[in-house]
Amino acid sequence: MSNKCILLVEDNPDDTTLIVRALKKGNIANEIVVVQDGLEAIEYLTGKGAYDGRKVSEQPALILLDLKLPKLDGIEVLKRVWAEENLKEVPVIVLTSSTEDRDIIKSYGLGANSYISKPVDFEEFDIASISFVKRF
Amino acid sequence: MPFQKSVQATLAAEDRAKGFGVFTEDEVTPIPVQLCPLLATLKGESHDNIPLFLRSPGSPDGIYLSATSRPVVDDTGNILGGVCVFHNVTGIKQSEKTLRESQDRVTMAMDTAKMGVYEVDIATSRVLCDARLTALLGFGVDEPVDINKGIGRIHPDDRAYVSRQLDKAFDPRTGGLFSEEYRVCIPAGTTVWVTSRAKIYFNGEGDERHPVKMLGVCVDITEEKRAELELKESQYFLEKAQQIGKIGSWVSDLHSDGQLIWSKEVYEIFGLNKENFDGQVDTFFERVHPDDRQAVKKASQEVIKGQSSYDLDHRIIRPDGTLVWLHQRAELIHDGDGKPSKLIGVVKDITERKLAQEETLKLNAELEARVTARTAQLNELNKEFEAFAYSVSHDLNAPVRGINGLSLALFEDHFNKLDDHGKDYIRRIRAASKRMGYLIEDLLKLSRLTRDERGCEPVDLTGLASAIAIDFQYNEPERDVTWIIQPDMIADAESRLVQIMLENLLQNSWKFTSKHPHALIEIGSFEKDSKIVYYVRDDGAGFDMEYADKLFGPFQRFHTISEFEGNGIGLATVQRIVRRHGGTIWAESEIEQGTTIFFTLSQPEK
Repeated sequence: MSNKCILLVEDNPDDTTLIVRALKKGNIANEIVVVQDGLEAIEYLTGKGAYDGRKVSEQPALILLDLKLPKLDGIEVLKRVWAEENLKEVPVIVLTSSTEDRDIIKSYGLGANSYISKPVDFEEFDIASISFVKRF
Repeated sequence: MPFQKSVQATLAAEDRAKGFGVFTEDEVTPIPVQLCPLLATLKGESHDNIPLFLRSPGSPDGIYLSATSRPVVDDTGNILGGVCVFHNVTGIKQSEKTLRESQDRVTMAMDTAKMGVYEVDIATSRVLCDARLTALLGFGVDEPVDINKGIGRIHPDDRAYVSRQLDKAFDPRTGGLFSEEYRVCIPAGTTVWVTSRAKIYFNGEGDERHPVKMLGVCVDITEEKRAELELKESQYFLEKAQQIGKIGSWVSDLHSDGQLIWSKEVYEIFGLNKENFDGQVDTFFERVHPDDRQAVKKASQEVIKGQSSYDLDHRIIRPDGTLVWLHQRAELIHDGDGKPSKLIGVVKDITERKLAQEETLKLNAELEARVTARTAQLNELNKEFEAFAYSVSHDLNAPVRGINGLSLALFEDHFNKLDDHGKDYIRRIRAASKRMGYLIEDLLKLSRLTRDERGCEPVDLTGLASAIAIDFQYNEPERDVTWIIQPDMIADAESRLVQIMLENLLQNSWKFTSKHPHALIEIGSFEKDSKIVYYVRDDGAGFDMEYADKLFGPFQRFHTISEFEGNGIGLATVQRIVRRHGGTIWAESEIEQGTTIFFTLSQPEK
């Protein structure tokens, strides 16, 4: 994995804590940028709004995207990422507690590279998902 | 005069006839010698008015003669000769013949008409009947009959009327003729219809005129009356039937511009009467609803052009404005030359049926609208429920995940700062949150059952059960479980749901037999009341049948968590799936002997 940052789009602070902890525990040393809603994620990626002036040539190595988000939801974020020429190459892992088929299908349809359900038992997340994240 | 003897001596009878052309009055039998009037005088006989027929060259058509002869005797009584006088009676004979023929004709006519003749002498009130009338009225051949006796034969119901009519006929100012039909009762007990016509003869002049004689004929018309009554009756029945059935019949005469003849019921149906309906086709069309007029005209024209019949419903408007629905059927009738001559038809008032139909259509439309509205409501509810479930899966899961994950972090990152109690608490927090997570997950699964609909297909229950059994056995190879799975169980069902159902049922059997060193799990089926009943049987922990009614309720558990894990959703899910298939589910159990769950799926029925 490159040394670029990982963008974590997650509004739940508990989940953020646990995901960040799991990544560290899985020896992923990349900087983790956390944004708390879809709009903020888009602003970060496009260098606008709160992230005005951020160099858009430097995009994250990976986006970990929750689906249920305030302002813009994850599906909307996926659509925008897919529409931006310089973001198409950025891998996106959808990370959500939804196990609904339609969410999974939609996510893949909009260019998500993978889909990970957030399990209740975080131990399962630690083991299964981190190795998966490492592949990107 | 010597000639008689020589005649007698020389001519045989036939020759005589030929020679003289004398025959008896039948015109063909030669006159026998003994009847020859002139010769008879020689024997001293006298004859008067002997009828003879003479055909001779002078009178080839023949003439009728009447011969009268006398012997001529002298004073001593010796026959000297004879005298014969011939009268030509041809004229009289022909008159008689004509009269006889005429009488024969009258008799024949009277016989044919079953006509009797009577004559009443008013002064003596004596009635003379001919043989036929005597027999008809049941009088004795020589029984004297007077006018009262005759009237006595008249049916009591008709007697007064006939008497009045007789009085009128006897009144010289008004009468003179009597003509009535009435019933007579004859002693044998039968009633006979007669028609009687008579002429009354009067004597005197002006106001002094008085009846002296009544001459009449009387005819038995019982059969005609019966036929007439039967006809009337059948007409009455026809009319009644038409009235009850609200069916009328009509005829349209094509030779006279289609002039219409309607039965009584057609008038009723159209609300018209003979005064305000002139039978014209145009008058009929005036009553036809404007929107239907074209169709009715077209049907009539087509039937006349060659199509042999028509059959259509249309509306008419009665003079009072009432709308009536009619069903018309008509057929074309051809005359002897094969040309269309008449259109005959029946018309039925179908207003009630039509209104009922309209009502039904309206009700159906309302029902459909209601179903649509309900479906929309249901869809709305489903959507809401879906949104709710979606929200549950995210929002309910998140805090549980937080509890679980953070307690794991606490346990791992601060392991050394915790004593054994603390560690145990954390373990329990994590176990509890995990259960909560499973519970949420199972509830979501249960809710999804009602949302997804995929239709039935043949599902291999045997194959599904076997795959699940193999899976269980693979995960816990140390367990000693005997599986008996009936081969070839195929059900028409939603395969995804049946899979979930079997997983739940076999999971239960697997779980509740786990405390027994050896276990038996059986899946099979049998037929009951022409339905196939499936069952899953185990010899596990079982339960108290007293609580059987709670078995399929969500969150109902019969065992503690420490005995057997679970959340009480499994059988509720199974029950929901069975009901989705129109089936039923029930259980039999005994503690420590095992449980059997029976269920049906409505398809296929045997």
